[in-house]
Amino acid sequence: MSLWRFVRGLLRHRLGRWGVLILVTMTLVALLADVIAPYDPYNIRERGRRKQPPSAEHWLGTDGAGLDILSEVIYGARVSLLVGTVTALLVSLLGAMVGILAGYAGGPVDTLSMRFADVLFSVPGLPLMIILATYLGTSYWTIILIFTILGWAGLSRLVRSQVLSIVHLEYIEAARSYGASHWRIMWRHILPAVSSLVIVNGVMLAAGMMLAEAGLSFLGFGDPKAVSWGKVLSLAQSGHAALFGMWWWVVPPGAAIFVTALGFMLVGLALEEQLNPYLRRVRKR
Amino acid sequence: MSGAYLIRRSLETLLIFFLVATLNFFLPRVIPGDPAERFYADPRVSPEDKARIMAQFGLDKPLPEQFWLYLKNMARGDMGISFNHRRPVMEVIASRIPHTLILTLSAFIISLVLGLPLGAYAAWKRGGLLDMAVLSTSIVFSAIPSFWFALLLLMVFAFYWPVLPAYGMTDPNLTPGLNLAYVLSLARHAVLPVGTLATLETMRYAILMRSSMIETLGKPYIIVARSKGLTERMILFRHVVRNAMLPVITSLGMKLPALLGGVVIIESIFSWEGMGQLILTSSRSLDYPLMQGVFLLLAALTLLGNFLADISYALFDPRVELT
Repeated sequence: MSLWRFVRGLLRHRLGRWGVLILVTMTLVALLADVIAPYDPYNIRERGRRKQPPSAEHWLGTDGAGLDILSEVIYGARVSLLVGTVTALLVSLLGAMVGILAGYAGGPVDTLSMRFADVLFSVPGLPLMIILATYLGTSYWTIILIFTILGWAGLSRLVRSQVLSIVHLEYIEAARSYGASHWRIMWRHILPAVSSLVIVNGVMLAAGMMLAEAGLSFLGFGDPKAVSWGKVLSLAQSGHAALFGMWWWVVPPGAAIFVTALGFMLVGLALEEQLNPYLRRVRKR
Repeated sequence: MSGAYLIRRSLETLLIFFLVATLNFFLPRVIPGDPAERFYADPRVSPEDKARIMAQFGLDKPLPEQFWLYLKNMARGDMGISFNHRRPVMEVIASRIPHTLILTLSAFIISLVLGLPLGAYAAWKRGGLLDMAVLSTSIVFSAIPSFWFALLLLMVFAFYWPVLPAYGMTDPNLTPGLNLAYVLSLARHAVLPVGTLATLETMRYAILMRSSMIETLGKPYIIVARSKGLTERMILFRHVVRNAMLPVITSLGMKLPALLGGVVIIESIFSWEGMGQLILTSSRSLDYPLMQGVFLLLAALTLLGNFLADISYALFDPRVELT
């Protein structure tokens, strides 16, 4: 399927269109943050009066440190999109690799990796993330690393079962019979067969990872130097913004997280229907 | 159900718990930097004092011996002493367990009672108004950050329409125990945290039940039931719902880590003194023994939940070959 047809199919999908619109807008906001944001939230001199409701100077008011909330939300898009997409990419890669290897190689490789996946599955994720962040620190690259280490298990299981269902098909046998190497079989014959599964899950993962990053930042385990949506809400919580009805401090950052995660999910749903013809038929009925 | 299955599943659970405990022990020891350093990083601490402290905590012994000691103590329920509380870790945790259970169990039961029928009905009337509503709300709810949702509820019900207490577990002037005033106050304080958790979980369970129902509805035995001329009611309750419940039960076990993770966030927002809040405060203040203890206990709870889900699945489904 050519890339153009792919994108067109996405745009034609009722929900996918909205997802694409959301993600494109958010990406532009993140890229152009220094142009569109009225203030620079990293500059400690650009602070106004504290906890002010929306006004002409500060469209979304100010937070407990006098920072312009609109600017914080605009700059926060960078962190959320970056962590979400980079982690989803890494997790998809790792998950696909482990799943293909486990399904194709079988034997001890399979048993070992799937037992390890079982352990990851049966451990409460958020507490484990908190512990790891406590030991390893909370710079963004560390957090991405933690998410990747903990996140691959689900996808690898899905990929593995898909691989198991195709590994005995004739075309794989044929490839083997003309002497294709294991590497070539996995790369050229198995990967394409699981790619749509990986793509759909990867997009959904981006939403999940974004939410997880926001949650971790909210609990105070985010990168201390960066302005992120989760951190703005974390400060709102410690400043009792919700208790005192400072809606301008509570609503915008959360809405940004919600809308962006929704964007990823809508694109994921649209892709799923597009790549899985069975679903497409059922839903249109 | 056969005993062999029970035994195999218990051994598996124990093995995973052992792996988690091992991880819990080795993680702080393989990571660069020494957690115990906070006791002797101060340059005024003499080398002799440092050696004495290390010996006191058994940190001068070789690693395998430390590990053996750790396992032995754990088996006796001794998980060390909390740096901050200066009391045994188990004691600190034990007082918190009931609080967390109040939240999770009530949220769990409410979401089951609401979510399963909702999902079942949506699937039964597939494509109908309610089905569309369930589908779209579940998408929306899976994109809502739980902590934001909690803050919004807090703002609405404690500020704009102040009918509920915003934080804490009871009114401070009441005597704890089984008296009416105390229990009522506890219940009132639990409404917001439980409500947040239950709303989010309900949609998860509804969508689980819905997809399981749809799969069951396509099975040949449903067509047979129809062709026998059974009433729709009979088909729904006797054949579809009963069979659709089975995969849902296992998935419920799988959803436990999410519920316990959610509890960390909810407890921190509503100042609910449970285990979730404990793991947060202990890791913020680098109280390693307590942090590890809470983590191990949360992991144990999750494993137990998964185990029970699997066992009940086997109990309910006669077709499961239990070997």
